[in-house]
Amino acid sequence: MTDMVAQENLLFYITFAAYGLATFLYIGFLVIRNQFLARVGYYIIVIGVLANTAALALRAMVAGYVPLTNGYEFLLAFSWGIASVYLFAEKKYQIPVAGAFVVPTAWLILAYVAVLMDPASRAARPLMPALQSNWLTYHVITAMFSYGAFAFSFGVGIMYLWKKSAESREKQRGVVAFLPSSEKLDEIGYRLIAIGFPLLTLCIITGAIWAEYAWGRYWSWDPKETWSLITWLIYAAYLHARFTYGWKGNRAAWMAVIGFLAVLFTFFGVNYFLSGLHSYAK
Amino acid sequence: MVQSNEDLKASKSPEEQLNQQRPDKDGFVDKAWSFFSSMKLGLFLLLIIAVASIAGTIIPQNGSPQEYGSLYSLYSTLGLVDMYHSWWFQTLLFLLAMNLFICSVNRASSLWRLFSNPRIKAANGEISRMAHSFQTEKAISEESLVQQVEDVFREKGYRVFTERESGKTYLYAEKGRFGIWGSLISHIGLLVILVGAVIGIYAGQEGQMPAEVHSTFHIRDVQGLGKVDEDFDVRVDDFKTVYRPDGSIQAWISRLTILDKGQELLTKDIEVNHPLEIRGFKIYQAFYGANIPTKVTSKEIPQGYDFTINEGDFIPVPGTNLGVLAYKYVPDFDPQYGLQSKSDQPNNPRMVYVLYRGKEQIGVGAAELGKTEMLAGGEGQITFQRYAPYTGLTIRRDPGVAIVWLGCVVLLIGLGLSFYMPHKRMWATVEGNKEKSLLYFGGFAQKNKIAFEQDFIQLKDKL
Repeated sequence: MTDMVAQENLLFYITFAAYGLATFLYIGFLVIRNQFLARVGYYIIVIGVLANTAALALRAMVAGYVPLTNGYEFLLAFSWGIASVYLFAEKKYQIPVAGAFVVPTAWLILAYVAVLMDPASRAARPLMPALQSNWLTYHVITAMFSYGAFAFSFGVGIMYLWKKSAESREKQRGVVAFLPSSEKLDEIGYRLIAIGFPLLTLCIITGAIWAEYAWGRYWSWDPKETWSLITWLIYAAYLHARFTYGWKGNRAAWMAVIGFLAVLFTFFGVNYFLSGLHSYAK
Repeated sequence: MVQSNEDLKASKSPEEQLNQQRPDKDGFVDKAWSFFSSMKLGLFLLLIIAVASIAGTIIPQNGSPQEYGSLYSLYSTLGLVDMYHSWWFQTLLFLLAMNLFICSVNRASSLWRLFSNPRIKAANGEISRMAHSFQTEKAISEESLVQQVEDVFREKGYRVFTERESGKTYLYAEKGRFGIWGSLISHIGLLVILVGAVIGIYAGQEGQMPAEVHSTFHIRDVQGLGKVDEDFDVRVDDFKTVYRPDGSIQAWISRLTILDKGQELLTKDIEVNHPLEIRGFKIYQAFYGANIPTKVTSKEIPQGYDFTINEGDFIPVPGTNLGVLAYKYVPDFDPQYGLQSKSDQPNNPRMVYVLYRGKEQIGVGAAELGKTEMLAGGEGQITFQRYAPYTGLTIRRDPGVAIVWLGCVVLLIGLGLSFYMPHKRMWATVEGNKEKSLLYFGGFAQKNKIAFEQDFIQLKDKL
């Protein structure tokens, strides 16, 4: 048992190191524009995702439940979601330079765990009765993928804002010139939100079903629920503005950035500043 | 609020010209209608509801007046104490529902036209102004070029329409036409959810019942439930807390039997996440505790008082300055184990209590249940009659829940169609004679432009 805990810990640090190294390589790629760095970075993330998966699997064996219940487990799943969606989206949209803007998020989340979470709060804990539900598993898995997609759109949104400001000042030298065209970034950012939004909806619905079984109420305006709704409303506004007013470009990029900040607040802000039913997630 | 009323926009790009427009009207009803169907209102409502919700997560909801201090009267006037149920928040939700409804109605007919009767002909000028277009000349007959274009479309899974008119062949090809309905269906889903929620607010019932083990209660006697038409009894056969080897709680389990006029209908073990359903009611395992009927007497007041107390309660002894804190129930008391019970069995059930005089602690004891305990040399007496554990049940009936789930399914179907089944459209014209023909070819997609572009390039390469 202690052996497995030690191995799980080791896997956590391998994942952490891999995402850190990949961050470094992708930023290097952005700066010196050597394709090789991005290639290596991609495979390092593959290794990171494998270690991340193994860490989650070991945690499942140690704890005896699907490891998506406390703050540590969720952050491990969150970084998994970001990295996996990244691997998929980089290939799909042929945009390796996004690594410098997306992978750091996965790494910073694990840095938060490494620096600010003590071993006690990382440890597997016996599952309280309310958390013993399959719906919780579906709830967190959908959260993982939708948050991964939103993290990507956040990174692309930042790229867009940078690129656009350079384009408008007609100063496109160095790193900025290397970024894809702003139209392409805009469209990719939208695609990721279009993938993430139905998943976020599914995440909220599975959470509601779980709450109905556990507490008899599918919606109780608890801060975490409300913040997930706020996130949903922001992305819903983004989609509507895009299709009717053709809100693209800057405003869309800002909304993608704000949307992901709301995602982060739903997790970190609500756990640390606000209280409610989800307080077990601390 | 409609996701993509691109078909109604007034701008003049070729995309829009291919779709229908709604004529402008001036009457009051039309103005109100167009106000409620405007996307501006929808967006405004989305953002204002988001901002208000943020306020609701920062200001504690449903607290006691003391929690808010001097701000209480301000907050309660503005409805901020129970913001999500305040009249203005509900009004915002209602306006959003109106907006959703009117937009959906507005869009239905033009979507139906787009779906069932797509425009097949597009002029060359229009085609060349589409998001993607190209033209080419081929040294083959018009007929075989038309055939070739049709084949290429079909190969990619497009549905093809052909029309010949005044020496020219018009082609229209589309894919994912069910995706057109995505946004309308998802908005209907949201409306259904809101209807279900409103039904829950007005017709939903919730009550709490601490029910002692072996007791039976009638559904109409549950506190807070209100008027109940059903007529059945609930008997609590058992309640237990299941611990894991490490001492953590694995489950609270109540065994309940439902009786209809004395007739047993069903027996079920309920626990958290596993409620019992009976005739529209759901019975949840929600809390637990124990009732301890207690008698306190003193020299001054020998007839004494009877209370029902819980662990942790403080009981003043009448006519004295003594008080008793009922600290902890120990089912199998043994002085060597202290407050730890020797076993789970009630072999020697005692109530461990602390005796106070004023604020000063003057003694501790372990009172045998059902026996009178002398306090401070007989100045007072206390009897903890028995220890009756109860299971805390929440009983709910919400006829809106099924509707909410239905709405969720509709919403998800709509979102799936909307985002995973993009509607792609292409137009072409072929003109020529036996030796050579001219092809104009163009198209666009409202959503997923990247995938459309890939489709377009592949088609172009084949032509």
